[in-house]
Amino acid sequence: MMLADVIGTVVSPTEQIPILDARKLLVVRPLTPNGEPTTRAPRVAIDTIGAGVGDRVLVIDEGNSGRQILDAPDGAVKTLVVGFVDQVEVGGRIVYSERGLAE
Amino acid sequence: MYLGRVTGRLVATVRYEGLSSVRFLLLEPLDEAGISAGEELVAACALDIGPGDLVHFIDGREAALALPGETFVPIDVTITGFVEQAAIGDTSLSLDGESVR
Repeated sequence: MMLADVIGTVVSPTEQIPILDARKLLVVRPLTPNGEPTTRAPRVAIDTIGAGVGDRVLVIDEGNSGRQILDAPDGAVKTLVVGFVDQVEVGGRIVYSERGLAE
Repeated sequence: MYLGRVTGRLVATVRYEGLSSVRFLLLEPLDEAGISAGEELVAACALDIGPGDLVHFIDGREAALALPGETFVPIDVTITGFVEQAAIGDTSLSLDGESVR
């Protein structure tokens, strides 16, 4: 899994593989635990938690996990937003807090 | 999945038998600003998509699963959908790969 910020939305209603129908797609930017950008490419992820632009989230990028979450044994899914990040602590120091408490 | 833009077509007449219904397109991955990010890929596509289109695509084992019919085929990148619009920060990527700020 990785930390990421939701930075955008994707509208693709007309032409897509069936498993994506009626699912919300988000553009997410992978981050380090400290919240810095990484060299990893932005992902288009399926939202499973009601996330939106500005949220810091937990993203899986692995197909078998995605298929389990969506209960789709043959689904071509890989990247999913699966959680909101409330707080991150590294080496005893809080480096991110959703409530703005980062020291 | 990733954002990409279709840049061309590729014809391969002789191919693995399970791939007879699949078309091949050339694809450039995009970063969040809609700028090319990395080398072009050859992607399988079973959707009504062509050069110039903004798309999202999937790689790895899921690329084969994204194809209709036979899914145990040697494919590692497949286009999963047409992107009508991607709103990213102040940037809006839309039809024909136009990037509007």
